[in-house]
Amino acid sequence: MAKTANPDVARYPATGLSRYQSIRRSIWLYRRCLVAQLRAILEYEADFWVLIVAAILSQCLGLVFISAIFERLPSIDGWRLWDVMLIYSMVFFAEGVVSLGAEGTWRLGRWVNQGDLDRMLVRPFSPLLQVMSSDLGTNGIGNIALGSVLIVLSAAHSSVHWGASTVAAALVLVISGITVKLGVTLASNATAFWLKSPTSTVPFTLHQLGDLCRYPITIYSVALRAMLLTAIPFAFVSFVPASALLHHGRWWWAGWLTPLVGLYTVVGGVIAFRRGLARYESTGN
Amino acid sequence: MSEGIPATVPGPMGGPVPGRVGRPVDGPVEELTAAGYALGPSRPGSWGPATLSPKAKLRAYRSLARAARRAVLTFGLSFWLGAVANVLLLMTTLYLWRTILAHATHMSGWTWPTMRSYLCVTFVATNLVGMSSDFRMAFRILDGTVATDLAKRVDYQLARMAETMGLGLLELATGVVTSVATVELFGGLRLPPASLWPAFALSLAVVLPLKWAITYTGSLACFWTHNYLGVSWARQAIIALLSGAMIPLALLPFWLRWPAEALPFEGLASTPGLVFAGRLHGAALFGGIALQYGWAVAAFFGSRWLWGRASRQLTVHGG
Repeated sequence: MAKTANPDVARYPATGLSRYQSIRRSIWLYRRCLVAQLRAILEYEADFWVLIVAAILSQCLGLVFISAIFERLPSIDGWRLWDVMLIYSMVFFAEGVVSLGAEGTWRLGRWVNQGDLDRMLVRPFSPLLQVMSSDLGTNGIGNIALGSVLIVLSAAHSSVHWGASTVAAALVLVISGITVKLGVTLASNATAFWLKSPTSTVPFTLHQLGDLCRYPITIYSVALRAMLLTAIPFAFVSFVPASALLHHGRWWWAGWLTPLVGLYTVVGGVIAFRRGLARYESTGN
Repeated sequence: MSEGIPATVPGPMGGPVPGRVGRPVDGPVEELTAAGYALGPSRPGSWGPATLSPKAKLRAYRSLARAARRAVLTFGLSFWLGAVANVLLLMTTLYLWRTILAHATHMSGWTWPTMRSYLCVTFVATNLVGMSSDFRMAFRILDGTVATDLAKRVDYQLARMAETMGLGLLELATGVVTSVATVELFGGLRLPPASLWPAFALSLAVVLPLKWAITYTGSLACFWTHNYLGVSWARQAIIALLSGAMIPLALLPFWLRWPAEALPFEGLASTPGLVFAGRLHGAALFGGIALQYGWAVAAFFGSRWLWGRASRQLTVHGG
């Protein structure tokens, strides 16, 4: 079995393009790959709609649960219904965007186990972008639609005065939350290079930790809160940005660290992927 | 195959396995394969299938159960991490309810100790018929393995049931250990009085076949759709809410309470949870358990009828 050489050689062959042109070309190819996936999925139209409707249904039932709770008490740890809905909506939105743009990372385990990454390494296109664009989660469309509606409704029911600066701040925080989710997804699926299991059970279990951040993390123990804020920073996907937007709690200003955390997780995820790729061994295809 | 020469088929251990159509094949069918193949031959000159004796069929189903258990334990990491995922969800729900019950005053008599007991049992029930069983049944249809299953001399539905039951005890043991350990961290489990234990055992015992029947029915959707993920998500979400796994059904909004009581899902978690928490007595207790068993029988035969309709959708592309 041959070990792969420096992956950069495979990614940047002598095409004569400048670095800027290479980046533009990579983004264009990434978009083309995603559109090709969408066209393939649309060949099975029933499946397309089943996945979207199922995603919306499962998220809506979660909302019904939280509404049932708030029918009986006005707030949970100082968080009212629409504050918690804002947290929920940011989770939905981030999950939706990552499902649309990076669903292929969930297949990494199978490819590493079966040595199918070889064909990606010989193409003059970033292996990471190829992996990300190798699948498209149409459930993301449902999550984005529902998340968008909920964000708008939560914003309308909040006590925040929505001017141009607040809207811009909200956009920055939402995008930063999405990058945190993307970074954690990349890093957790990159463990496939070390575990070499055909299933994505470890990243899936880590992904389940994100469900803890659908509610205010102040209800959890100190240890759990610390983990969700530092080691696996899912709290920066929803709870922390929502606190900053709503000026909720003593530490609301920490929400403005979300862009930094997003950058940190994405860079960490990319580094984990590249380190993993450097130790990838083919199976002799 | 010429007349007069017995049509025999080599058994899995080699050598012919004699038998005739109409006479149940016994004894020589000892060597059933793990896949449930029982190779008994037809009458001479004919390839018509022999029938299996009930004893032979039982051996086949036991082999399938054993094979399913071994398959899951071979990839033990997936199984245990699935249990970890269930523990995380239980922890989230316990934290949430601890906060809610510390502040809420109108919770229909629910207290934190009774809620702990209730959630412990509902999550044990939720751990049964996990995703491995769910997707295994669906992928048999999606990848075409069902075509070879139709040629086997074991009933398709009972074979799938045997595989799920093979895992049932393991899932039950895992669920009990992990759920009880988690609840202990939140203040411990309040056990019901001894008089309720027989009723609780009866109620919990039917959860596995009932949940299997509902999951099996959902997997038949693969005859019409190529992607089972959406169907599985929808089914899990509906069951999570309407089974009372995360919130007692009495605390749901009124417009959800009557469908929750009318559908079979309350028997999956709510009924055993309420029995264990001591919130069901007398006629309500017997009625709840009777409804569970009634739904289990209805779901079994209903899915059998649905299989008959669904399998007509099957297209075999040769091979």
